[in-house]
Amino acid sequence: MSRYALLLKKQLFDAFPFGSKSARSRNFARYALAAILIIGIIVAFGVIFSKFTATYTQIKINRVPDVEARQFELMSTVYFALIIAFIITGTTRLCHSLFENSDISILISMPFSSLEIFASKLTWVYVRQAVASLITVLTINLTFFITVNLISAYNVLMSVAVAVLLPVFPLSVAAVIALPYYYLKRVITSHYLLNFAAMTALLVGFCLLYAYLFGIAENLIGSGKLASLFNEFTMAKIAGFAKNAYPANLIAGIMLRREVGKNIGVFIGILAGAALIALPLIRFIFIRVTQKGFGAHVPHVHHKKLIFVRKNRLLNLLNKEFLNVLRTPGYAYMYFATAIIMPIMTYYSAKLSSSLVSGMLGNIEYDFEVCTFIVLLYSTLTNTFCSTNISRDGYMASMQKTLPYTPAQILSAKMIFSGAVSMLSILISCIVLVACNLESAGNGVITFISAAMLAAAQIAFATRLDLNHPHFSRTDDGEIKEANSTVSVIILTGLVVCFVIGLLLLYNTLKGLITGAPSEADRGASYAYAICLPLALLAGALAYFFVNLKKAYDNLDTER
Amino acid sequence: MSEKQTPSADGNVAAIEIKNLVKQYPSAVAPAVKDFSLICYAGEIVGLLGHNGAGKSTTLKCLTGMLPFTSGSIKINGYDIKSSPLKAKFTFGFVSDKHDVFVKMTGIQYINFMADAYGVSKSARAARLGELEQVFSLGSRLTEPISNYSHGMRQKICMMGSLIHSPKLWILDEPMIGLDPLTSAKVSDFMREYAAQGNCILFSSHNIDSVQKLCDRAVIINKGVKTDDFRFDESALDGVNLEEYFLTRTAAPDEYDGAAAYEAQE
Repeated sequence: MSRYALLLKKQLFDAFPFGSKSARSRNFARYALAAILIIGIIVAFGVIFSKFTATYTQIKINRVPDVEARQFELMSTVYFALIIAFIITGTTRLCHSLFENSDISILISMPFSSLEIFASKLTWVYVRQAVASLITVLTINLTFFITVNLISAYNVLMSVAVAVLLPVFPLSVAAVIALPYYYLKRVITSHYLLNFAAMTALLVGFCLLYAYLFGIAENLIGSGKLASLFNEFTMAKIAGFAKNAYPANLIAGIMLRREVGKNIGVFIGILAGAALIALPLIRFIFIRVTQKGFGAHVPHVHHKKLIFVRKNRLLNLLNKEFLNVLRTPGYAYMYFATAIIMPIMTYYSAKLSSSLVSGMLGNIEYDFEVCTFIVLLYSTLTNTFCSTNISRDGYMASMQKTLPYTPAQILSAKMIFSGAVSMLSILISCIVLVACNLESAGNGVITFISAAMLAAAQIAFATRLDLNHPHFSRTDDGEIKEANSTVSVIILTGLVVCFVIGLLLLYNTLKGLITGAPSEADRGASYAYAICLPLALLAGALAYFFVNLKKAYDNLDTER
Repeated sequence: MSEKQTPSADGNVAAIEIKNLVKQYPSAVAPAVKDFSLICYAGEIVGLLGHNGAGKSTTLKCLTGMLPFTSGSIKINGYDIKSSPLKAKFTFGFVSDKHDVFVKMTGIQYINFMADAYGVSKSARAARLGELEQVFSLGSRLTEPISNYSHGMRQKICMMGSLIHSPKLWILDEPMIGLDPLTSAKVSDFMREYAAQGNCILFSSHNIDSVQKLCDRAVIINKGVKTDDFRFDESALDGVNLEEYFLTRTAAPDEYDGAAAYEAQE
């Protein structure tokens, strides 16, 4: 086997660590869950994108339909969005591969040439991008062409070809911005206040985008048609954008059989040009990194004075959790950002659902059921940071066992830390819903109790699951770079539980409607479902948490 | 379940009292540590010697409560690590071979964390840090995040954190790896001084020279079994150098021929 192939194989095994039998079964469960999630997302996207395509291609300008122009605009915009997404993921993957992965320092001391290491690293980044490209491009193209009734062997073959070639351009752009991005990231993450400010700015941007998108959706539902949103001014802007969105518009042209030869020629030319610029550039950066350790250290601004503050022992553990999370951008985003965003997302979703359901069911009281379902759903999704409660301590998870703390103190500090932000964001969400008249005060209290119990159940379950199967980071900074099976399990079970409770609440409302207006008894049943199911889940999660807890904690070993 | 300090058989409270320790990992065929017993007293510096995989780190992990053990008993300063774990843990400081530390904290935040964990007062921790700075000299780097520290600096901050409460027993796993020669010499001096103040130090090492220079006693562990336990001043070695003695006692005959080595030396 050539040394290049050997290096490629090493990266494959790093990504898919099929070691012992137990590891194989754990990883199988992990990949099965990931596959289920991906299939679910593909199906959901396919349904929504198909509906949107059918509606968008029928838009008329000055009462004149132009289906082909709409198809071109839509495909150009979608490919452009894909290219942007691949530039973002390509940049982070290149950074990880070139600067953050500690294996380079080992590999350069071994008998591999820098070209072999470089080529294998780049190939692996490309392969990962190409797999993502195949999944997304095929989903988009097949959905589109089936919807507009243009599916053919040409489309399928071209989709595969485009999917394989598409990552070349974003990776070339990523190569240019990888180093500045990495340096900026190091500067921001070394200055915690700057990091917090950047995160807040990102959040504000996300909230504005969220508000804008929900505004569009509400407008759509309110007016009942898409045409009112896509007026002449907007359509002129979209047409202008599609005309200049290189190389996305070239791909759209190839797919829609518009000047195929010319478009293929220009597209290949752009790819070749981009690759010609990017390859020497990435190789230059790689050589700098391997030989001089480029970007290894960014000076940290620090206080000169040593500050001694004495804290209560439990507060000491909470403070440790806070510092660990605040100073790790990934965790900080999961913890603070999602918790702050949750009330905003809840508000817009409840408002949108209110418009949607009142259009379908008329003037029937369903506020409690809708609001409870939405709060439960968002609370479950934003609560996922508790799935790394044990793993994020890294090797210190074992060392902490030598400190004079009981397992109960260490674990309860982690659960209080997770629970505090969950409860607060659920409480704010419920207050917002009540204040905006989307739910009555009494119902708001029950929604809060229901969501708080489910969040507590989720935290207990996730913490114990992470204790049983921790995923410790192998990098110096101690950060878990990628989602692990515990996170997937928590998301999936959370979604299943929310939808089961949501469907039961919905069924209860619809049952009342079928037999006439929903009665007090139906409302009582809704309250019972909302309280009893989370209560039962909380009892189950606590039982799972406490059974053999001491043994599980004693057996926690970061090296095994 | 006694919460009291219990003296060992000779009437004194031993800093470490391990009796018939057995540690069997679930996935392993043979136990990692077999019937291991050890008593160490205040004022002693004891070196635990052994090859890779001999059971040194496992013994220290069991001793510090990091790992559960299969059978036997462990007392630290008279407190049973199983029945009175908190009381036992308040009396020792541990430095692991991995330099485990919260890398997102600054050095001083980590020191404060450790001091709060052990309930050290504000004035005591400032005074103690001043003393430790004389040895470890981290200076202004204490206010930097530990993630910026080098391997050796992480080792230093781990040692400082483990000593902030002035433990009666200091346990270290491979302590000299990663330290520069000056710090290594300072740490050795500090160890002697610390033991002379009536504290006990137990450390594991591959470095036979540092054990011979620093320790009052050496304990050799091989394949999980204690093979030797001797004081240097009682000249158990009988003129043979420690490295040779260690290899003769622990290596298989086909791996090391002690007699041939002795003859060659002669």
